[in-house]
Amino acid sequence: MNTVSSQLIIAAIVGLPFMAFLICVLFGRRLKENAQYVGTFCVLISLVFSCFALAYVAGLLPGNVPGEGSSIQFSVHWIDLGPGGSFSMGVDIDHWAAVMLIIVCFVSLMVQIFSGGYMEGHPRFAWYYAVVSIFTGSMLGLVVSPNFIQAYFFWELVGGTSYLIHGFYFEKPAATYAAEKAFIVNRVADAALFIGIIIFWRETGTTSFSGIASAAHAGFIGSTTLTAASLFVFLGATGKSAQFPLHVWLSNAMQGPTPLSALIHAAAMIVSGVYLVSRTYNIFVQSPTAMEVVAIVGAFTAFMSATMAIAQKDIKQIIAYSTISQFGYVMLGLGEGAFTAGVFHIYNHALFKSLLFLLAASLGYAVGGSSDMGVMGGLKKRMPVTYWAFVIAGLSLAGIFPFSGFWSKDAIIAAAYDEGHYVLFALALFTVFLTALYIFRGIFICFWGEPRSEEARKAVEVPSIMTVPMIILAFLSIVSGWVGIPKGFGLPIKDVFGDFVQPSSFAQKTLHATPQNFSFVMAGISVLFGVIGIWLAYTVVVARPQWATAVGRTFPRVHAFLLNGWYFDLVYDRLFVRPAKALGGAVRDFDLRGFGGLVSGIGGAVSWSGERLRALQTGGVQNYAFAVLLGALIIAIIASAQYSFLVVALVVAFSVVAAAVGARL
Amino acid sequence: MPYSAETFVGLIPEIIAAIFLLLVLMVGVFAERAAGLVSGITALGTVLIFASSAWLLASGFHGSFFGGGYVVDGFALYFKLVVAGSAFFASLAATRWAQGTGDATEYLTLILSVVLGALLLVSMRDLFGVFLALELATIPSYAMVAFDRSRRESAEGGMKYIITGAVASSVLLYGIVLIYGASSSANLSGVAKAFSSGHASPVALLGLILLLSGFAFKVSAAPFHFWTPDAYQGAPTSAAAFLSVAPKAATFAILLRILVEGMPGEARVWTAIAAVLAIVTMFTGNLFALRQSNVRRMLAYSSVAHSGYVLTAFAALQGGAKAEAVQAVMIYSAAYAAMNLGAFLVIDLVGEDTKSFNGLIRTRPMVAASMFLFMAALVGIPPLSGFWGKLWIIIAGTGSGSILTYVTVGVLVVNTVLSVPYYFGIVRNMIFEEPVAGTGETKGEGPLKFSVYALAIITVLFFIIIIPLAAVAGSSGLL
Amino acid sequence: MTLGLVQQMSYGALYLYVGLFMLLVAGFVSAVLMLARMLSPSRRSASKSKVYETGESSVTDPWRPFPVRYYVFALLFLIFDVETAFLYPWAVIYRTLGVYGFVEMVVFVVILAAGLVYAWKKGALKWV
Repeated sequence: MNTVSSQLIIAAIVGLPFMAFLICVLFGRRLKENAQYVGTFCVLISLVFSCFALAYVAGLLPGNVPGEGSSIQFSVHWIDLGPGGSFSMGVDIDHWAAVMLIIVCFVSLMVQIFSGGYMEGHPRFAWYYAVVSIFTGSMLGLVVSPNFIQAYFFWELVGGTSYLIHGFYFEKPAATYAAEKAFIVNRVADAALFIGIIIFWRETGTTSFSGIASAAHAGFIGSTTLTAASLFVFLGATGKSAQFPLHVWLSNAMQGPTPLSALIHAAAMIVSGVYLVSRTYNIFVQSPTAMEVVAIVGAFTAFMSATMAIAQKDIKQIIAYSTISQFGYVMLGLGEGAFTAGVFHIYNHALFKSLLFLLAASLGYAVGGSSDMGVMGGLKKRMPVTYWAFVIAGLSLAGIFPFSGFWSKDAIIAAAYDEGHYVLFALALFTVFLTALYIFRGIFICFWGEPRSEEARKAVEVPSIMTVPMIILAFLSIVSGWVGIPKGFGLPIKDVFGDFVQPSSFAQKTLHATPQNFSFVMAGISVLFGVIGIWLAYTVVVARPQWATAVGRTFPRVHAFLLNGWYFDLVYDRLFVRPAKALGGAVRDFDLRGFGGLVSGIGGAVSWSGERLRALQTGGVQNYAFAVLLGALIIAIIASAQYSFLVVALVVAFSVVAAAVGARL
Repeated sequence: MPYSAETFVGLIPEIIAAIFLLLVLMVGVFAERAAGLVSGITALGTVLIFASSAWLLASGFHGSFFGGGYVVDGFALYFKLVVAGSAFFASLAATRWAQGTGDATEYLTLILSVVLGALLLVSMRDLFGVFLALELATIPSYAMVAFDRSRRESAEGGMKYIITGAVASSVLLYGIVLIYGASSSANLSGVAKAFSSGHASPVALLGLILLLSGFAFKVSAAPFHFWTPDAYQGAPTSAAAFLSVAPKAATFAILLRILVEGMPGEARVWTAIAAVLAIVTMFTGNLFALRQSNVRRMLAYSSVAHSGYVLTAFAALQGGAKAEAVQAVMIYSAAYAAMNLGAFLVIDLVGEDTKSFNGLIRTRPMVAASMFLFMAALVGIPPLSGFWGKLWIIIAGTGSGSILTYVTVGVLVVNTVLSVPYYFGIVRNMIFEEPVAGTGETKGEGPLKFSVYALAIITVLFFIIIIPLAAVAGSSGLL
Repeated sequence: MTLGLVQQMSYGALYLYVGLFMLLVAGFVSAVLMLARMLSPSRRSASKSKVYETGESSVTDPWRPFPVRYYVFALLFLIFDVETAFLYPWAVIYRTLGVYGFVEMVVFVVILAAGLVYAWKKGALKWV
């Protein structure tokens, strides 16, 4: 990958969406509905170029031998830090990054085609496409980043533009809160990530992923430091990927346009967290503690958010919680050392999750904008394409054989078992049951039974510009997993994905990974759990609806606990938000009273005499002057204990003089 | 003969500033109606100062004059560029407001006086020269703060500023005198000898402490910051914008020079002081800014917080990260100048109440987008300018090898998160609230809007601008 | 002669000399004050017990209008005062300074003149 032209092609993958953004922003008013062609065309070209990159790293093009070292790498010198080193900007596309590029471009393309119908007639149509474009571009930039600084750059860009997405319908007050909350939680995570980056940079003198990994291997970083830094990076990833304990922002952040949620959940912002962990896998594998934490957090998150999803009343909320849960699986897989299974799940998830959101969008489109399941019902006949696509996506999500989700999820669960983490294994397995339960509960409520509103009674199938992407994605949700059928399954096909996307030989060596064998027993158990979940959902929604009400009435607390997301919001509110606000309010009062309170206690006489002779009404100038001297005193104490007597005496003398001056004022 | 041709070349920026100072005053007096002409001359003057400083910097000029008491090196020229650049935008932005008062000449003269003082300040290597230049930059700023006669707060702010300022100046001067007494030299190289042993006399240490206290006041570090919110809230917006940027950058620069060139032997003491000051300042600034309903006051407290960030770089001036710490101060000053100046100028366009920002994205989208960028930059989000300043400070701080500095850097990171709610409170108001009536455009905003947009572009493109800035800062000549 | 006497005295004894004078002065002042108190009649009144401020009352309402013309003139006087303070020493060594010295002082005078011109043009010299 040395010629300028081919490098330009790679750079264009990232650059084109940004160009589309600029065009849509600058000429949005003139373009109007044509903005969709700009955005779609640019991302289509990016997709084609991504295919080129994939073909290149796969060795299908001349001039490159397939194998581990066949990634696309080039960089330019960016900022010189003098003696401290330098930063560079560049591209590093290995096998997994090439696959990821295609996922992002493809999902973005589907979303953009679909949105042409969904957003039709919206006054901010061009702005919508601008947002989608910059969001896609930022994610693509993150995918190809070879070092932490550049990754952080695009990471923040992804976070910043998500503010635009969450706040797209700024007319709604809920959108305000969601956007702000998402932003602040992400800032916390980003700060953690930044700390991690700086630690790595300080210890190794480089920010490049590979450089840090080899420096750590060579022993430049102490194992404790390595673990700490890795965990900081992981905390950053939990923020973006909405993992426990920073998952709280995601369920509120459903206020943006639904197709954009598809992009966020399937291919961009939320993926960026797990992608970063997979990208820095060579660093993570060197710290067993960090790996363990990743696995535990992943399994716990998967379980926790699946229980939350069961009680939700809004179809979008269910899907949102399912995203958190599914990325919990990915984290579990990565933490257990099952790199291929984890990233395979990202790939499958991207397809069925984007489909689910597009379906939720088309449901909302059909019933007049709401995604509350209370207004749906009986839509099976009226919207057959949506219904069947939903069933396919649901089966895939639940991990039912032979849909795509099955292949990756099964591998992750098996990895947990193989590693001997039986608690995590049990959590993961139980989550399969929960997953099937919540998603099919949603499907049955939406599509079966009687229509619950006038809109649902009159609903018709959505226009074909929306159904076409749905059909494509539904087809892929069935077959996408077939590229990764493990060898042990007995079919005479190659495990294409498994062969192509492998952890680096370095990671394999460090983990002492033994290739997994496909276990029919394990697969059978996991599918069985899924089927039980579907059966239970059918029972409580369709066959015996009175059961659900009875359970809800018997355990109202449990229901409220799940519905409110384990009361995390409440706890965080009490723990962080309220104290912060109270502190802010307290210091504001303090400020408004012109610093009077504190100082008047110390220099009472000053204030008293100053009060009477004060030329201007508010504030207390002499107090300020006094504070200056007080500060000098503080500094003096810090500076030297040995001379403190002399210093204190002098500063006190000063203060007395100032008091006298203040009194005269 | 005390002068040579080289002296005049080295002093070109200052000479231009002095000439334009007189020129503006005279033109303003004799052509009372031509307020636009006066503004134009001021802007031209700042451009010429900028150009001449840039030319000196590009030609690698280095010289020391007046018995080593005045030095023109890369470090000084860099800050001259920052001062001149912010003066350019401030004088453009001041045009409309100053013409409204009828005293545009005086206002612009005051700006140029501050510029002259700041230009001299950054080159001083003599403590008494430092004091003179600092006062030359400060005294006009008292008048600028109190310039708005239509608002009562302006006089109030000016009053508070001048009185506390006088106390601080006397403290500073006393410190300088004590140092002079202890080292029997006011020249920094002479001072360095008195501080070199590591066992400076108590008098010299007391001088150092008082000097730092005086400077802490000038850069509004807590607990010396009390004048800042009152003064900035009262001052005309362009004055607050300018004063929070140019003289402050120059003051940080000279403090850095004094500490690095004059007192390297006592680095242990003053880095500790800087660290504690930085921690207190960051928390004070951000906590007080958290619930302000007046944007100007909020930005005043934010400027306090940002002083704390810069002081963190001072705390990092030890161990293996000295060069990076110096660079951090330089880069932060430039980054902060662009974003803070812009944010203040937007207030001038929109209004100082938080509510006047409501729904700005609908009524004036371009202004709202600019404000969004300034706020995001002040938070420190890449690729905007504020990020680069913070990055350098953190890099320097983590390389210092001192536990206290590590703590300070940790506090910095915490404070960055702490500052998000109030900066994005503005953004939320702009995007999500219903617009209030009467926030439309008014006449004569052209220069002001030009400044805002130009600063917004600088803020965005900082990831490119940083390349030459880093190169210049890396070869500044200090350290 | 006095000088000789001083040289003969020890250093400490010199202070004795000063102390003697101080005692003398203090004694004289107190004696005169006491004499005056004893001789003069004492009739106290409100206006007599005021602080002497050249006829101005020392405590008044600060918001009352008062003329500022005098201060303006005082400030303008300062221009010439400062100018003089610099011109005298300059004139003493004018010959050795040469052309540079001349130009330097011209620059200085021009700057001060600009201040005067400004004040003049603004009407500060009119006594209204």
